[in-house]
Amino acid sequence: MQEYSLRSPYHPVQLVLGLSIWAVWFVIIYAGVSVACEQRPGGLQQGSLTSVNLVLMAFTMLTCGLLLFMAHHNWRRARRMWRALSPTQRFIVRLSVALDLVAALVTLAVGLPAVVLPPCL
Amino acid sequence: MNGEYGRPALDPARGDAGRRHDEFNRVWGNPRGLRALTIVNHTTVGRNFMLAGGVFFLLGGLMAMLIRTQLALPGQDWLPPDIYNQLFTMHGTVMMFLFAVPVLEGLAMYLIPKMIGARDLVFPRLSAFGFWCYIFGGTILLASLALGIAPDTGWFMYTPLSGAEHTPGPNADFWLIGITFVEISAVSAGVELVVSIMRTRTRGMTLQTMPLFAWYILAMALMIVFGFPPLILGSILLELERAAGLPFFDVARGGDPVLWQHLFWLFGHPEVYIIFLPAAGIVSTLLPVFARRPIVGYRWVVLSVITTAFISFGLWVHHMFTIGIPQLAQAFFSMASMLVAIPTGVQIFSWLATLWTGRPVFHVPMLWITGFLVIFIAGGLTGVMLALVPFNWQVHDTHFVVAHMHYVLVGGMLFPLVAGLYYWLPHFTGRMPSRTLSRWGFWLTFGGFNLTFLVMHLTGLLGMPRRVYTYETGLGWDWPNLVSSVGSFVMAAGVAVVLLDLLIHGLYGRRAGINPWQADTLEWATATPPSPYNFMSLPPVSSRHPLWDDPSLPEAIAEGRYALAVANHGRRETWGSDPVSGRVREVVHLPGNAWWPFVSALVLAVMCIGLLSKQYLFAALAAGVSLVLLLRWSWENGAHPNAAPDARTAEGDPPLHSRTFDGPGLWGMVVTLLADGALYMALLFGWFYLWTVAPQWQLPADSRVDWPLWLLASALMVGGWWLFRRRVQRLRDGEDEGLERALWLIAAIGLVQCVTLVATWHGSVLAPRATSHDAVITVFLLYLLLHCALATVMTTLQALRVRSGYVGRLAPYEPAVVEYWWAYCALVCGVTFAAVVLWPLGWGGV
Amino acid sequence: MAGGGRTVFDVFFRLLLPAGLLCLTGCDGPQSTLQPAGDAARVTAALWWGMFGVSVLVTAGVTLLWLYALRARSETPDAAQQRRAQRWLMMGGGVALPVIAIVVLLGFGIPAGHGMLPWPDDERPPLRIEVTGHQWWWQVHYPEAGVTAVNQLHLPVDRPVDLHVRSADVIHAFWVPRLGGKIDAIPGRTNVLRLRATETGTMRAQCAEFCGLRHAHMTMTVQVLPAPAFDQWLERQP
Repeated sequence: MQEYSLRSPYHPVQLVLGLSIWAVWFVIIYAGVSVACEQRPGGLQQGSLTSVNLVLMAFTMLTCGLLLFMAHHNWRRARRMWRALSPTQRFIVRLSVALDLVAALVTLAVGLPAVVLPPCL
Repeated sequence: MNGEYGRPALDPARGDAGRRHDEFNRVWGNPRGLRALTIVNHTTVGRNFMLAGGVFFLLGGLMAMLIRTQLALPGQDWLPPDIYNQLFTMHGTVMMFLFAVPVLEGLAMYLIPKMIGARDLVFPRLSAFGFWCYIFGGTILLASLALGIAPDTGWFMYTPLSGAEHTPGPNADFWLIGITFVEISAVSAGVELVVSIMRTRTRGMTLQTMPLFAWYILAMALMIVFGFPPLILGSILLELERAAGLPFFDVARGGDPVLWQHLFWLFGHPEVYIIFLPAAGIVSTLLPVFARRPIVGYRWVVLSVITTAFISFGLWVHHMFTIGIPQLAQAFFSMASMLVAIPTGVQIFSWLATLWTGRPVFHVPMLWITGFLVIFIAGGLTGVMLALVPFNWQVHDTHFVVAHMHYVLVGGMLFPLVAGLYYWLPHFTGRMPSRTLSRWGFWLTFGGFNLTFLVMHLTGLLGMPRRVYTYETGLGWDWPNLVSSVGSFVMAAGVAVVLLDLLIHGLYGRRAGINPWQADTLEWATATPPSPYNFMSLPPVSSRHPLWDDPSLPEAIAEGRYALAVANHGRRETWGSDPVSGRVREVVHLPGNAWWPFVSALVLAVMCIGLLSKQYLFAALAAGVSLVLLLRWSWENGAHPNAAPDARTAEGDPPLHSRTFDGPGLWGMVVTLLADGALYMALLFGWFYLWTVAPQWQLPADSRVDWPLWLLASALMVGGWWLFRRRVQRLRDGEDEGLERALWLIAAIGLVQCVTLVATWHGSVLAPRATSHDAVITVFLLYLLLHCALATVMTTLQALRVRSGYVGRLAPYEPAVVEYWWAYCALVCGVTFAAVVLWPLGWGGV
Repeated sequence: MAGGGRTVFDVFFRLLLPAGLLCLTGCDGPQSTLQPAGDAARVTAALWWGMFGVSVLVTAGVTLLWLYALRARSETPDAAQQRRAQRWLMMGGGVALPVIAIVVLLGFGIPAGHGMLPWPDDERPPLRIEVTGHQWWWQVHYPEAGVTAVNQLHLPVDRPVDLHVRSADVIHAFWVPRLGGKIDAIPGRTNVLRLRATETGTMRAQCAEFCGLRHAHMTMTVQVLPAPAFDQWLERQP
């Protein structure tokens, strides 16, 4: 059985890493919108293309990309050593890659309103 | 099912096994009479949680009946508004805090060790302590109702209504203090369940072969660890505002009532998933048994559980859609609230697929699970409706929401719970449930429930708000309310029949044999009712269905064929295993019966009463006494004569955990620090929130924090930690030379640091009653002082234990645990310094 | 072993009976969200009926599937059948169904919500009314005309109105169900609610956030008048 390090794709912490990143992203975008609107409300004429929205969309894409990268990277690394992994380690890899994908999708979906809605109404 | 009820029940007291049974009972036995107050065994404590929860359920239900009786007809006021307001507040509070969570925690406490092949939970005295906190807290809360001074501002206690100005009486204090007391039990159970599931599974039970119920409970417990502290903080802040005048929610002095809402719902939304997940876990456990096949999509279900647990923390603002938050921000929460339906849907269709591809048998529990499905789906769909912001604006705070929440809570929690009670009745009592009476109970409850709450959706759409003690006629609300009230009586009859049924058959039903439902999970391998030690010997497992693989396992276990089959060393033992692979690493020794939990909880209850009656000196004294008791309790650990002084283990067995560097205590400390960290982050959130968003945030003209002293205190903490860490490293290398001296030095540093913190306070110009700014800084300083003082005290105790010979090279475990606390203290000192001193410098410039 | 002793029909009957009564007795009332007299309320009521219909279908559909799955059978389906069932049910029901439902819901819901926002209109500014919630009465102030009323709201028909809602003490909520959604009155804040009445008549408003002893009595009469009648009413006020 392979030895563990925190960066191994089969380390159980991988199970919570993806959604934890989503959680941090979520806090940042919510806090960001709230503080931005408190400090500088207005800009309604631009609809949803304000600087706030653009920053949000960029940050969302970035985070989504990071999560997708994590999923891909961990999967590739695990596949290279697949035969040496125990069934449980394989289970953790599959589950954590799936969770990273879920986190990426949820990030994208929750960030979608930034494409449509103005920030401070 | 073969035969009447399968093989005859296990009787551990007979034959050869009888001698071993006596030996085990000498170590594990439960005393009777007054000494029963010292029982720490999870079977008893879990059962007591459930029984107490049942009692609170009945009391909460009674309150609901009074409410429905009043609302049956328009214009009634035989319950005057002040009494009515107490009733609906207490109904919600009792049901949510004193019934829903404790009952499910109790079930988890009862089942988890048995399902994972362990003999007890990992901190038995903590479970017992949690139970007593729950009982005393609940009693204090209900006493307020008996005295007519119960909380009366709704179970979410919105400010400013619940503040000192609008609720001058003690009503709100009962909630704030009583519920916080009860929450100690919830958080401690959460910590314990996480560590038990991760570290005490039987040999070979990998993460992948763990029963699904364990995954659900693991998720629930972690959600409790992160989700309850925001409310604990909020309650502390509100109580400080009410009792000491420190403003946090008062607009004029820089606070914001919406901060309370955020803190409450940060807890409140995860809370309902904390309630739903264990119930879904019950369904995931029962369904495969009655479908006679393994669940379809184990991995999908685990995926869904983890996803639900995380996403549920991103929904809280959907309870606040009408407070005027910008639309875009609301849309994030709206989207997340809809998305959470997907993992729920996956679980539902996993159950459906299991039935579809299995060979279903229809026993009593299945009736309740079917009822759950119908009701919960309806409730989930109205939930998705409510997630849509425009619709939410119409039905928020109306009876539509009342209908929705009862559908998801009663459907999603009560029905699976009753299914579980019927299913595990043979386990609790050794007797089978009925067939006829149970059907009456189900249909009355199901029919009555729908009659009450289905039409209530319409009542809300017709415009009836929540929490009104009466209503006028002619609005179209008359007949729906009457129907709901009639339905509530039918449902009450159903509940009565169910309880009667469980009672009668629990006492006098037909005797159950071994594994009467032919289930696959390990809990059915104990005797029924179980012996205090669960298993005579701990079997290895290699699949998710140990009892399907080897139906004769119960008898083999009882013959002592497997591991840890002796108890003549006088210790309570179970396996300590690797969290992923289930490889056995240590023998975990567990404490036996003790008075500490009961007495400590009692003194804390006395302290609460002191706080409630505003006798603050007396309360401080009680707090001091309880601290002494808790510390004295912690003294009886590890190598102490009352714990495990003799470290010898059987040949081939691993060492005792207290003689290694890992063990439940270390994990318990980490999980506790997570909870503590969640509380701290909530405080941090409050600070930044008020600073950026509070309507009348003000910086006092002459406010000054003595930052040089604060910097010194932080540096001392970091230094102390660094020294501690180095010493622990040397201990790992086998050196305990000068350990005691090093600990005394570190304790001294801690003492100096605490003094420095106090000096920081004195050197600062703060007026905590005048502005929120100063109030929050004060709370930060108090938080730091409390933590650093505890660090000092714990280190002192460690030094004393080295002197007494309980800690050293051969028992090196405890300093590693305390070091983590120092690390946390150092971290929060630094972060607070950055947030309070450094950040305003940058922000002020903007 | 037989099923639960009851038939599928029984389950349905119990569910549909109360629902059937719904439509027979009507959904009207002076405070009913289902008798809309304004833009926002109309859109929301339509959303409701759509969601209601879909929910009934989904609940019925899944329940039927469940009851069907419960039927007793003597042999397990073979491995290929099992895999197919699992895939269809888990992916179709568990993932695809909720995703489609959410997309459809948002497809209708986002435009609906969009239209309810208080968009600024410089050419035809909405009428500004200031509402302040007290324990336990409503103060209604028309700043342009300098008129103040108690527990009465007069509105012109077919004209957008911006209600600036405040609180003098605890949190209240301003709500005229027949016109639109509610908005909280929170001390320290002013929240703006945009309403546009499309029918004249009398209706009710009620405080929708628990605010203490007489919360149940914190109601308000709302009169929607034709524009000239409204102007006359304003002029007649002291």
